[in-house]
Amino acid sequence: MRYLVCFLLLTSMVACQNETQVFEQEPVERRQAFFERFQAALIAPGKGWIMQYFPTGGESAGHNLFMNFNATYEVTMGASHAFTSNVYAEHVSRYGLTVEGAPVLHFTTYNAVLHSFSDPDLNEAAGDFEFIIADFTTDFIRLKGKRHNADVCLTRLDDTDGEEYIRRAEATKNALFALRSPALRLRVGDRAYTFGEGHTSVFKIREEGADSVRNMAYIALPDGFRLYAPFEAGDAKVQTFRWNDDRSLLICSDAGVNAAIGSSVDDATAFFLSSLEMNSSYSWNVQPAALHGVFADAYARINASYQTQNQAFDGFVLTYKPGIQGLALSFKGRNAATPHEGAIGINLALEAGFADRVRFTDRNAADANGQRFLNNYDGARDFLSALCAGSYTVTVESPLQLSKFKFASDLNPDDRFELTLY
Amino acid sequence: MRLFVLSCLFLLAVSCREDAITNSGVETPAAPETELDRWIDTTFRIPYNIRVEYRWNSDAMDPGHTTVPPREELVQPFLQAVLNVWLNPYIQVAETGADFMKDYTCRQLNLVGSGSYNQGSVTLGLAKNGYTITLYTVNWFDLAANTVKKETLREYFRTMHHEFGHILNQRKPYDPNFQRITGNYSADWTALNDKQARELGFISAYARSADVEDFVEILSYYITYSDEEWQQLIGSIQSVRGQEYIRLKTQSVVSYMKNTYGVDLLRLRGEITTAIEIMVNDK
Repeated sequence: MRYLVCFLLLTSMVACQNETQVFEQEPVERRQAFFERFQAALIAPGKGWIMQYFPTGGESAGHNLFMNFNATYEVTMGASHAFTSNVYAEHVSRYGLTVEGAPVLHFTTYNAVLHSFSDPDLNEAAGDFEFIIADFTTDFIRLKGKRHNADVCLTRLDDTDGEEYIRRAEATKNALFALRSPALRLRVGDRAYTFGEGHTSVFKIREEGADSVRNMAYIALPDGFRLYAPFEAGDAKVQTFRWNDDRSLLICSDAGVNAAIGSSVDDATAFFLSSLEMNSSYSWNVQPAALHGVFADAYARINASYQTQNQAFDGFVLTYKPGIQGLALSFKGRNAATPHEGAIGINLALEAGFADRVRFTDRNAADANGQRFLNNYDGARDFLSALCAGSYTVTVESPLQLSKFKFASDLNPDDRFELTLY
Repeated sequence: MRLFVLSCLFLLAVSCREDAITNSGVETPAAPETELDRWIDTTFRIPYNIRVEYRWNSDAMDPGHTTVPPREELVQPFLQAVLNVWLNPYIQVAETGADFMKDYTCRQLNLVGSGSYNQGSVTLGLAKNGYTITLYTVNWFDLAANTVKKETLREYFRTMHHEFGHILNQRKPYDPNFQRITGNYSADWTALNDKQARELGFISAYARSADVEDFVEILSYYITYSDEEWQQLIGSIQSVRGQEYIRLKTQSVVSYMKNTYGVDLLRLRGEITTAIEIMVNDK
């Protein structure tokens, strides 16, 4: 009995021991305070947020989604992706805040901008629209997809509209990662890595000299790009890269990291020439809006000539054509709905003594349509003559953008044109 | 000593009252009521005690299936159709009128935007515990834009009546002899198509999955087809035995609804098919 009494006394003392009050508020109050602070951040003045959304984590393209929240639990979302037919579109829907073990931000009515990625009626449904709130400040929110565990972040827009941000990010992607653009090269200390296949939105990253390849999705930013997750390059971890002032490099903007991405191509003009070698499948569009001098004049006359024959001229492409066994200035047109195309054989070579000058020459090897084009359309022969007159100085806006080359005549710098890769 | 021990026990019992249970329930910010919420309140909750969930609530969803919420703008036209083609016909026909729906309808109606996909099939509706009905694919029905065809509407409302049939069965069982009319139920029901299943005496392939499904499939087909359409459907079955089985099952369902719930299925069919026709002809 004595033991029993001692035990009971001991138990009562332990049971009644004052608990240390760690928090001043009850859990419910703290939770409510958290949500109030979180929603205050969401709806704070500004131009909304950009969600950097990776539907399948690091395995597929990242998408910039514009989001603007209001206090009545409405959210306006905007994006330009496959589910909006690649045209910027905005839709309004609802969001909510709830607790499921952790605080959760979820999007409670359908919004094509976001829910399309999760919609089993549309695809294999890999995306998230419920997110655990991992961390937030007034200008940055870190979320974790509830179902697929993808890391997602929101950054506040202060100066730029959502649509403008997305347009600029797309322009960056198009500039850096056009189809067939050469790979980029990351340098960190004495290590180098090639970042290839950027046009697929998932880099194939290979350390130079090594065989293994790692896939890593990225998202385009208005001034660079961000990898889905930090990439370990030796001892460094790199994730975000932004243009330098002259756009010749992308500099890693992660704290404490000294790394930069440049082109994997040392000589831009040599790359251009090699892209048009025999049996190459590269094609370069002659940009109608970037024609100047004699080229603009000749092109306008070709257009007019097509119109007088009730046809439409669709433009020039520089490419290798097996039919005429070499490089061709090819062209396309339409007679009502019936398309036609032809080829005019030319040669292209580096100008002797210059690293950045090229010369086009007429091979007199047009196919049948090419001959008709030269004979029957005003301006056609003048365009060819201008192209084959003298040499041209070749420039690129940035060594990182080898998808667009500018050509200025060395005889008259006002006679200019541009070629873009496709 | 005994008194001391009792005192200690008493102390133990009372000393911890400070830690009495307080409200620790999960409180999350409530979204403000919208026009739609108010309409749902006056149209479904107040008259029939049906709570409609159209905003995403993961607790109400099967975590094993990926689904998405409905488009908000499609919710009211969809619910109006639910009212016209499901609730109102029963109210018109049931002997107890509006009380029938108050007594027997589901207490919660969940709306989901997409289908719920399984291996080789898609779930359009689900009834649970005689309490909840979940209707999927709301996003397929832009009823205000009048883009939905009659057959699609009929199939969907059949699903709705199918699920409600489950609720009625779960409340009051049907004659166990029903399952002996054909027997021959199989979990491998997708092996046959509807036409093949009808030859065996099942109104649809899914009806072959279990007798409870068979019963509500007969119910839902019967009341969403006009008499002419129904006779045409039965007439398309080549097997005389298959036709006879379906007639016997239909009689069983008609009797059950009349005797158990006071609902005349012929009249109910008239109300429902007329409501579908009105929706189609409004286009």
